[in-house]
Amino acid sequence: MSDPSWFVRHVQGILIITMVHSLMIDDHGFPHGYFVIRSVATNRLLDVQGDCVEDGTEIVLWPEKEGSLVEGPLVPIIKPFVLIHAPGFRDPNANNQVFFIDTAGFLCSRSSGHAVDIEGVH
Amino acid sequence: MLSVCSNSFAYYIDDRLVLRHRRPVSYPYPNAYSHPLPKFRFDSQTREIAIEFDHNPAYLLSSTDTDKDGSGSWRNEAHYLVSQPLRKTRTIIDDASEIITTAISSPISFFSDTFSRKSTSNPKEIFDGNIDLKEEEIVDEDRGQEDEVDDSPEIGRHVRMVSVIEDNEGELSNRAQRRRQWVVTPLRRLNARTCGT
Repeated sequence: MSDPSWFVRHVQGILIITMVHSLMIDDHGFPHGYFVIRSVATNRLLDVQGDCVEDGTEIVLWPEKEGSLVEGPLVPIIKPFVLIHAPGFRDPNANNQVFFIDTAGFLCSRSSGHAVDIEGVH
Repeated sequence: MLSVCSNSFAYYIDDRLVLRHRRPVSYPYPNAYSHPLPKFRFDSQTREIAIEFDHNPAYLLSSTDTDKDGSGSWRNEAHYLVSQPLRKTRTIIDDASEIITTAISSPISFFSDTFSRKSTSNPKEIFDGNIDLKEEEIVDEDRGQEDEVDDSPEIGRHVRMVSVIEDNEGELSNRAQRRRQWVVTPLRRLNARTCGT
């Protein structure tokens, strides 16, 4: 344990495993990280209805709630201990229109973290 | 629900997208309550979003016709995400306006039609009346110009999954094709250290 080369080899091993794992993740054609999905025909975005988190909440098409695609840092404004997003950046209240592909390859909503499924209406 | 006017190439199913919590396994697996989640794949060339299932999705779809015989035919089906047009709901004023317009433009045919009750129904009227076909049950290829109208003042629209037999799909109209197309835009994060510089 006192041998520093053991620590270096250990860290190198973790780095290699992390890199290989990141290369193996399939984003299924979607971009890395968070994204919005816009319908060409209706010019509306996929939107978790009512920003609900309950199981079975329908995902609909809704007009874009936030025009900015840039997420800014949290900054203290007005009150020193209250952090809000800097003006000109995305409003986190529009996160029900943001999705991502999780590590298992499922499409998920950012606002709740829950996956998207298909359900028969009847 | 399977569309009754399917031309055997595709059928329009009113299956919707929902949020799904992780659930424990229940038997017989898979079932409507407990099943593997579908995966969504975006094709940047065609701009279509395909939905892929590891198992026969019959247990969670409205259609009960999917692979009834267990022959594995569900593997030949492709599923796509589509937006659904929404027509403005007809009011009494619209109906009255149409009757008046008809009476003024062709009074003779109006009265003869009224008394003889001779029907000159177009396919849209047949679908609305006798066959009782809902808007969401119309096959993409079977949608006429009138069915593609999206003039409702409602803010929201529905998004549905459409299933087609692979390599056997009919010709899609331009509007039907656009309803299958999506633009996926990534968000960017501003580096906090470079903020304000």
